[in-house]
Amino acid sequence: MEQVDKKTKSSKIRQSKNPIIQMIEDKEKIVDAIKNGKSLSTLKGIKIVSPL
Amino acid sequence: MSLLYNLTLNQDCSYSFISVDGYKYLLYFFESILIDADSNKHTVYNFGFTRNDHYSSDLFTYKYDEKIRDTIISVISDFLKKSDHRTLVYFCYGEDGFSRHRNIAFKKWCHNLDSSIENHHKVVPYLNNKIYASLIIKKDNPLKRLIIDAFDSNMEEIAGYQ
Repeated sequence: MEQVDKKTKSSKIRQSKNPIIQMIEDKEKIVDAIKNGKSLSTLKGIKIVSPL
Repeated sequence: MSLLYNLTLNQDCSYSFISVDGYKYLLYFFESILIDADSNKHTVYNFGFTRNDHYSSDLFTYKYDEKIRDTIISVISDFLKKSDHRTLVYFCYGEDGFSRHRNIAFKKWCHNLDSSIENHHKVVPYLNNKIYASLIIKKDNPLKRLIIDAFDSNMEEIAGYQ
């Protein structure tokens, strides 16, 4: 198994998109879709899940 | 008389209900990830809801209806009951400048959650604004510590984006 030091790991995380930013962007797309009367199933890359 | 509003499952997996005052509430959950310090990905679920298809910031327009709170809290509780490993994240919508108010209300709502569930609230500055977020997790989730730490560190990381 490849050993990666902590510094390299945190650098790798920074290089990819921060998950919180991704969540906020996804939520903005959902809010826009609802506002415009679009079905949430039309949103690419966002997996809507059934709550119950 | 029921203590909760009747939910309708929509074709796109969102849920909706109509309040006694005729407002349509739409609830949705979507899948997201958090990344911990060891680069492990944890699946979490984002939760959100709208009233009449948008976020209204009109003050003193809506009569307080605790059945709305109870219905939404019930949906959250049921969602977590389905699997002990599920974790919810909730962001307070903030484009209209009312995220802090929503955060105060949501934190109060969380007091009505089952005692087996705990919640963490975090606020970080982001691009001249603030992000108010809550993480809701079962107390006995075996990955709880890792997920909470990942949530905290992912949130703190964006505080540095100025």
